Amino acid sequence: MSLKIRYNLWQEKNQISPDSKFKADLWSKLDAKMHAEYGTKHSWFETRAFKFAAAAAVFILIVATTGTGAYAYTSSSVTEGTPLYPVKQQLENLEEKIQLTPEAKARFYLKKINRREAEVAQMNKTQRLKDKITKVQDKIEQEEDNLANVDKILEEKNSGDSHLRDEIKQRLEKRIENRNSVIERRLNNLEERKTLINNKLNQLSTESD
Amino acid sequence: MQNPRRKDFEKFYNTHIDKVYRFVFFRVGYNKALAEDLVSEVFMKALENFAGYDVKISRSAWIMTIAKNHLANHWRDRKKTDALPDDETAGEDTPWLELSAKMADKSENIRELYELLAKLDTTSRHIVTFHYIFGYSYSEIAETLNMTETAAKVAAHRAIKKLSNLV
Repeated sequence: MSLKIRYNLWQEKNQISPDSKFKADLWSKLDAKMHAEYGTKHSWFETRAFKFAAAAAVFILIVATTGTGAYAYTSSSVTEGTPLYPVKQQLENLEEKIQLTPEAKARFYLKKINRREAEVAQMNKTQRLKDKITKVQDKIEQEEDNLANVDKILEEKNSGDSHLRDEIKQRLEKRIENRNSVIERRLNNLEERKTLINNKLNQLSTESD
Repeated sequence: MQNPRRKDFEKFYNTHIDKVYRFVFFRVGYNKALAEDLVSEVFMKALENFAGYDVKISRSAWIMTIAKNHLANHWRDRKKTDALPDDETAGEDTPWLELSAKMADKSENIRELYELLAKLDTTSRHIVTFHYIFGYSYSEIAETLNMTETAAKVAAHRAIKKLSNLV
């Protein structure tokens, strides 16, 4: 019963505690005030973004270099619907958060798109359910949207990394090609259907005559 | 005004923010928005006067005094007549504790918890509430109740045991 009492006390303590967003916002205000009034500068390694990035990097390193985590993260046979896929995605989400510059983000999205494509290839090989494959293809589309957004930032910034820009350009052009081929395929399908229907109609009209 | 060292103030902020928030939140009837406004003002004041703060001497008493005075000003300005403790760390009965508990929308478990706490003697209730809910350390509680830290720990242990028996 002591456990129940302690749990209720802990719950009440949590309920009357400030939320982390409020604490972070208030600290930002205080920090800005300190900076405005006293010119207190802080080093880049003292920023919250850096601290978070460092902690996440260590976490990724530990998980990605140990057994299951390493396998989930690196293997293309860990695909949508497999038990380790959520681990892979969480590691990728964390990895995304530590990409601080637009260049790093662009490189990361390119890598992510390649990984998703490898997964689709693997899923086609193992004949996985079509809806799972569509899910991964939707993810590729989403990453390509992210990449296009980062590309806009790089363009505004006039980033000097020409190799990276070329790679992004190629990828986005490939996306347009893919979309065009999908549209073409659909048009062909529609044409085929149209022909089939016309044939059926002709057959029916001949029969009725 | 002297320049407060950022690192020192950050440490001070991280150490006291939860305690100050709980202190204020409880006394404004669990009004989150109001508590956040008041706590922000308290820390702004603390920043302005941080040069006069000596961690070795005042520990959390300094910021709690600022919070207490700020709350008093707030109620005075609003001409409120809610029951407020004369001394936040006083060992007497704490009507604000009951008042806040009644005002808030509590779960059955927490209501039961407050009912059980009300059955404890004043000192035990004070120790349990301040340590387990408000987050005060045993040494801080011992200081306010004029007892040793070990005695405070033993009293807390006994109080929890008593609460368990009351369930």
